Amino acid sequence: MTSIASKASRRATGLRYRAGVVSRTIAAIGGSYLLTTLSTRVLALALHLSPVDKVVAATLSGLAIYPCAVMWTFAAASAGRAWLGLGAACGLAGLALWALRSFGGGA
Amino acid sequence: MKEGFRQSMAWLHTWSGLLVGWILFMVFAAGTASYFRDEITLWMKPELHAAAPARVPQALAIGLAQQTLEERAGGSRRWFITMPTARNPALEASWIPAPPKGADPQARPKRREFGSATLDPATGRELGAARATRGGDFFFRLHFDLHYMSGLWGRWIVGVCAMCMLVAILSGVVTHKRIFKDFFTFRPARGQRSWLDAHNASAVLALPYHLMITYTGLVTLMFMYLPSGVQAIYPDKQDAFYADLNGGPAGNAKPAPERAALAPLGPMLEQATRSWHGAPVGRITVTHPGRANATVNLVLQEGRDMTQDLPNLTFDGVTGKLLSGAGRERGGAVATRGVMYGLHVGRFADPLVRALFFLSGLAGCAMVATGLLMWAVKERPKQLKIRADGKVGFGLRLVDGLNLGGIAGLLLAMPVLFWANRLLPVGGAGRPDLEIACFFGAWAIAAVAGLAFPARPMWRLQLGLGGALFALLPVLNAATGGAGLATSLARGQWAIAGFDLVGLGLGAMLLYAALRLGPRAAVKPRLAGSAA
Repeated sequence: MTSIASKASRRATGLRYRAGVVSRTIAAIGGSYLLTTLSTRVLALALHLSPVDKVVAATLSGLAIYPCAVMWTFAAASAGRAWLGLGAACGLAGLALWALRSFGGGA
Repeated sequence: MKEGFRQSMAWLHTWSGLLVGWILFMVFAAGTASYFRDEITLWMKPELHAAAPARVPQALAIGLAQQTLEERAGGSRRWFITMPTARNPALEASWIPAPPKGADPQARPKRREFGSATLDPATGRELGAARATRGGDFFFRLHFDLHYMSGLWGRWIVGVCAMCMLVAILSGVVTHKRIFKDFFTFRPARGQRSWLDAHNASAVLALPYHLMITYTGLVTLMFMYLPSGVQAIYPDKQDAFYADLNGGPAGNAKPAPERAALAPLGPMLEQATRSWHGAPVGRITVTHPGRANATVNLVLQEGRDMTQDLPNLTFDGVTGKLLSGAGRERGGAVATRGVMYGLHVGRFADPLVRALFFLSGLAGCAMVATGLLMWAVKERPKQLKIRADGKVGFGLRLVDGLNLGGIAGLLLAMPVLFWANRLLPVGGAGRPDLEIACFFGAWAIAAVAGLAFPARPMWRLQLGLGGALFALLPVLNAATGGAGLATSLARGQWAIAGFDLVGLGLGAMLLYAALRLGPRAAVKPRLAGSAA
């Protein structure tokens, strides 16, 4: 049953798989960094601590958020879902940032 | 990825580890060596082996350092004095010279422009002109700055690799089904399974260390990797943030035009020691000595507190009055970061804890190396099954070559540095750089040879050569003017004896590995593989 059609479809599956890996890798490196940056900012503004402690606590958390986001990107069922999830999380963080800037009075 | 959470994490573990593994191995090896930075430096200066300087009261030593610095470094921007310790019994004085006329006074001074002198703390005389060498500092800088590139690039590259490592560790833990059982599992001489067991054992046994050292390593440079927190709270005021973080005013004030004599440092040291209930001073920094706005900062000696933010006092350099630092309140997050930083650099560690850190670091090297090798061991039968001609693809050949050059090659280059240190003629300009060129030269040759002939005989050759060079270090030491093992053990010079013994031990391990790779052992894995 090694017909040309099944070979071609196998090649197409391989290509789709590779494209998925590339897409997820970009999401993991760039998207997760964006999410980490945003959530670090949100944490820094939201925590009730002295200014320097806000920065340090938020940045320490950021270092843990990044690898978790990367893992989530690769655990998602498909590359599309990985992007969707990261986008939604970034949107939420962005919303929180906007809310903190507008109503929280900043630092 | 593929079906299932565990499978996708296994995939992530494999690739995030493999792609940066060779750099990680070097970072791990250099970092592990850096736990004995002082001891390596001492070994690399055999002129200082003759006798340990006598121990004297700190107030006497600091007076002598001040005298030397006033004679030799009058117009400097900054002085640094490091007091003698059990690990380094010499008194170290160094300085940043004034910028040359016409140069930008705000430009950051280059490390190689620093002046330095190693003094006998009892007499203030310079200790028998030791050869010029970077010593253990080379491995310390290599660990996070790399070499032959700007430190900024090096730190980003190492940071990216460290983050991949953190991802690999976390996904590796998730992948793992039976952490506890793997403590006790090792099935030798069974090919792929043995490599898996070795990888699991070295990773799981020291897992808390691996996780700690990777995360805290990122913590040491986290404001560079992730500046958004600083930007959110201190927009356009980074200096203010660092002043808040480190306590005390930013040290970038310009020197005052008026000259004023520096007050004696001895009384300041005594006051600091009194306020620390008799604990000794470690490092003293004098900013703008001889100017009207001189300041003196004294830091508690290492080994008494885990945190990197050691208690410190700042004095007015002209009047000798205490300026700040008496009782700074530290917030929880800042204190946490200080301890994490301190855990990473391990300067607090006593000899036993230091040895455990060193062993854990070696386990880390073994974890990275076995992980890299396992990829090749797993991939080869897959490819041989598909390809009838018995040849392997480019990717596997590349990994084979990089494994050889990155693992065996580095283990060959490290002892070459020590041999170069002893065999290159003493004196002559650029000697430290020449030593380092020998290290990278040997590594480059090993890497090229490894990529050209990625096969078992090359492994035997490089491991055997590296093992012999390591194991013969005690002989080299005794033959080229250092205190040999018999002498150093008799005199109780543990730093020098320890270096020789560790060299001997590492050499024996590498020679054993080379021996095990002999032609007879090559058959075993295949036999056992069918039984599994």
